[in-house]
Amino acid sequence: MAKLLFYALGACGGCELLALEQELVSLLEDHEVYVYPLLSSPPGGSFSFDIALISGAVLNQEHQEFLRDLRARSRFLVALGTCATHGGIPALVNERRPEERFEEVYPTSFRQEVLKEGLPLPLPYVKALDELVKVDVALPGCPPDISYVLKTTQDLLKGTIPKFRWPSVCETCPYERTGKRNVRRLHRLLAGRDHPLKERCFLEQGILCLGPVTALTCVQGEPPLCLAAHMPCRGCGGPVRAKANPMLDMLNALVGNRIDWRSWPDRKLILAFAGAHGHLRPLKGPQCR
Amino acid sequence: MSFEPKIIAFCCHWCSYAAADTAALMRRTYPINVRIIRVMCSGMVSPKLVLEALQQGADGVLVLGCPLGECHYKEGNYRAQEWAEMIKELLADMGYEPERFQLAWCSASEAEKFVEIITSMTRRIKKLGPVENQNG
Repeated sequence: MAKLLFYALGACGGCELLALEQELVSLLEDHEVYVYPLLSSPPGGSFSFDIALISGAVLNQEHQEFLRDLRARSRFLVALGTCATHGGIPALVNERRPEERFEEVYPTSFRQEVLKEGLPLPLPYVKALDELVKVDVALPGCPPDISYVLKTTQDLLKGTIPKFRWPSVCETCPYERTGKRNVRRLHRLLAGRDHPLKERCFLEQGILCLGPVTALTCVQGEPPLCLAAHMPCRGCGGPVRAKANPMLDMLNALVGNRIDWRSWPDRKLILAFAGAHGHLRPLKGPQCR
Repeated sequence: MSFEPKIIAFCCHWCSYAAADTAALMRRTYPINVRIIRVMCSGMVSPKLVLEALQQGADGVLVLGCPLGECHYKEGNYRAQEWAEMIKELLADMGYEPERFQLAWCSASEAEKFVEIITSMTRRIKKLGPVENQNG
């Protein structure tokens, strides 16, 4: 009987909900799930775990200590979800300096209280799990598809580490690419005068789609979820290659196709799901608000 | 100890790398802070390479190519010029001073110019101080 742990650091809790999926519940029937953050509190004492599935980015000192402690106590550690693998939404704060964001969000009185009460202080920089500890399996996705979680759990219960291949979203995109590059500017999806054509690549119509630089973490072999619903990809799967900077890759691709890259004003939002690993950094000098 | 910056210079094979050779033949001296990386064309130095150099601890990056119109591959240096604009803006995005990057042209015979570019770049980076990589 294996001991499992689900735990959330700085996360929304969406990845934990995966544990309630019927297939996973029946798979774990013979095993013991020690902690499940939506139902129980963090483990005290000196338990050890066979598999720790941890979601969320590392935001404060408590998370950091807890993560290191869990790594020491578990045999396999799985980074569950884009926050754990690439920083995700919580890592968006890396765009601001630590003092600045603390001041903006919390009033002075609260800050003094935090210092007095000894509550965990936020880290100067939001990190992904693999910046601090060794991660055995990284499952990006927001949330990851249940099939990956199932396969990971099955393999780890057998003692083997599963290998996944994350191609780019374009691989199973159903839309047609004609190779005609006559677009010179990007525009917003609903701001264009004409509605985007169905069955044509979004980028070829001048709509920013992060498909080329995003890992396909939707169900593989089937059309990506957002594109199947006729929306451009937003990059929730994180970068295709480990440690790649999707913003640079995307802008490189735009310049290569002679699209005016300045026509997309909020380029930092390309990093909305991959802000850790030093990708998203505060602005320097006078531009700093 | 005074600060000795590390500067990466991407030199194109046909002009500026040859200029470095010429400078050596003429027994000119230039600051030791520059590490030269030979590339086939300045047009292959993408923003990714420049940012990677800075992220891994270089204090400044130079891209040296053939003078405009003299590119061995016809338009490689125009492409480098296009990218240079993008690099400067991205450096600010990523929290680096845009002055840490410079694009310059020098042909194979312009050893003087090569030395002058490197000297002025080193001086500028020394004034800026070491690169700040916050990953801690």
